[in-house]
Amino acid sequence: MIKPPIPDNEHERLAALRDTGLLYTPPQEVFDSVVRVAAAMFDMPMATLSLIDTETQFFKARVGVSAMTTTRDCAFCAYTILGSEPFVVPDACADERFVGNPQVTDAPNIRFYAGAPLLTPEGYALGALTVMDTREREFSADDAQRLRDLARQPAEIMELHRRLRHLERAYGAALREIDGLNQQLAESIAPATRSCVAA
Amino acid sequence: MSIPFPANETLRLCALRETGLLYTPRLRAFDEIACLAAEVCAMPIAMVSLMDAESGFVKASVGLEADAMERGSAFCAFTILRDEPFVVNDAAADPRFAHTPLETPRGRVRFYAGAPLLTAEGYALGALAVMDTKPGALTDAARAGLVSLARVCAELMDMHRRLRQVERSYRASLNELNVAPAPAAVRPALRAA
Repeated sequence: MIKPPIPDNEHERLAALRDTGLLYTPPQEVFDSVVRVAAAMFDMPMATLSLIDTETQFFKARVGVSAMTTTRDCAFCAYTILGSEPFVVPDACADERFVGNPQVTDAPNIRFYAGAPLLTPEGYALGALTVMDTREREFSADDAQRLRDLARQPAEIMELHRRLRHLERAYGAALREIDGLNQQLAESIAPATRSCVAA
Repeated sequence: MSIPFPANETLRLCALRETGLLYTPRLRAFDEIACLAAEVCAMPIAMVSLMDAESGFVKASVGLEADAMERGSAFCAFTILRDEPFVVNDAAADPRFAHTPLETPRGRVRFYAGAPLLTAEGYALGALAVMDTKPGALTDAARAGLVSLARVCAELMDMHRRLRQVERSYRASLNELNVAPAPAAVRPALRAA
């Protein structure tokens, strides 16, 4: 087993991932739907939507996998996020990067893996949409293309979450500024109004 | 032929307008959902429709040239009445649609299956539909796939809506910052006095 390398844009990638506000949050029907479609589309017993944090892989959605997180070191998706194309491992037992990986030797006993990166418009790979099996499988270039197409949907929704949070933050700042100005103004005219009412 | 309106029609239309997606150019995400629906359901025709007051707007499609249709003759006008898929196995044998066929480059639509695009509040904005020019049936697997993709599509639309809502509030706040905030401030000061 070989520890996955860190992407060149890791710092910005993690910032974008945090911006989505989706790390370590409860399951959401929309992402569950995506992994269900992926599992059905490729007839696979397992499918996940993984987000790769500094040291942890978090499954925002999953079918056929019981764990909610794994370490990043043993995450197949940690390899997927190194590029912008789907990453396919036809047989993990014959791939030195994954021989002895606890995800292979123990539950969920991954033998086949295919993952498409979840890319932001800037090209940061937040995680991956994956399909997996406990036996070795083939995955055609056409299959990879279809997985990549499907991965664009959750990536788009994550991007909208990110934009929404940006806007909400800006909106919150504007509201606080207004409150501050109102407060200043109220304080500055309070003596005048008091004397006015007293008179 | 008159088609029943959903009970929440007014609020439904408000939600639909709030998405800002009516009568707008194609967006890749929705085109891709239409393609995925056609593939998952193994059908040659698919569309994402938005049901406005009088007409159905085709936001995305494969195998279909129409970019709008009259609500009175639209399959999707029935789909938005319920929260589960609406299926017409053979439009030619269905009195509701037999006389107002939907034309495609491959011929008239005979089979239709549409899942409503439901917002979090339960408003059906339109439908994700798959169609064929020959009669057919919707398999359980295709139904499950269609419903799942409709949920993804509706979530995308809902996100557009939420983004626009926050954008509007944000702009309103900025405007308030630019004009004098005095009136709002004077009132609490007077109350305090």
